[in-house]
Amino acid sequence: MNGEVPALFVRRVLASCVEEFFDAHGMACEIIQEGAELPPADHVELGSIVGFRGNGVRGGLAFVAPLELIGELLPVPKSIEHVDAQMRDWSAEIANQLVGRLKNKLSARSVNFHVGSPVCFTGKAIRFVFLPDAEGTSLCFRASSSSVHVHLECSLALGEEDAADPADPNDVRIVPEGEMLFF
Amino acid sequence: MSKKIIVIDDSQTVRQQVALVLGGAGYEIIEAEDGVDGARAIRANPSAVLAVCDVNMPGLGGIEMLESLRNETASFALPIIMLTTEGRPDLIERAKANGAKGWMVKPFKPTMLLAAVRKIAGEP
Repeated sequence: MNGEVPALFVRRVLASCVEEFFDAHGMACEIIQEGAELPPADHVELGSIVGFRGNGVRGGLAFVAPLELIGELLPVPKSIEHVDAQMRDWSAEIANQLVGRLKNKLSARSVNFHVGSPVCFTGKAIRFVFLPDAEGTSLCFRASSSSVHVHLECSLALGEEDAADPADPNDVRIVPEGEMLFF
Repeated sequence: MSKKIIVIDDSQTVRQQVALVLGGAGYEIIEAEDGVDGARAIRANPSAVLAVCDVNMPGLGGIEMLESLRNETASFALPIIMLTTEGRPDLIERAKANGAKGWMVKPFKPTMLLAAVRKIAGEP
């Protein structure tokens, strides 16, 4: 983290989680700079939220994306009869996998937490606007010509040794995403 | 008759994804949506050759299910591959100590999952 303030560290880690997730699912994704976000469109979005809590950390992550993009990311054939439930389930699983990546990266900084079950909401222009003194981060990405929003509120207490450690959070992992360990 | 594999995950999409890979290879797939349902499926299918099981699930998690089954039957020996977003070393060690055969972190690579299943459980 190299003396980086926790908020910037979390923002950087979150961005890498999202970019790695999309890359793992074969879709290009780029972060959109603040102010360059596309205007909210009049289409259905799914927003999935996962809470987490542990020693020295608590928070929640929200993944918001257009319904069409969720369908593009779906790794199985689209259901004919139960497409709504299927899209909600997959949106929730995406949020779950993002928090999983976040957790694995933060574990390199001795930050561990338990993850709750994700829930999915349906709406339009689903957004979080954090209060000025909240420990929240909102990132916007462009993926497949859609806007994806990831919001994270995370109260994080890093020890001095963790704050001073310059190591990359990607360096320390037992089993990387997509890999397997045989016993 | 095809070999049976039990897939335990609270996400229907993940269950379907695993079922497509393993079912497509010729295995018979039985699905369960959490640890309680998974334990029930394991007890109801004593001829199953393997289970693929998530860790974090509402109700009863995967490792807790494994511990419960081992406490129930000292000879419990169904091979289980944990399929999860978790990468914590203590969880991995706990699963290993309770007889799990492998730990795979999502998103899984279909060829890797199929190769692992074939290695542990043999051909369908």
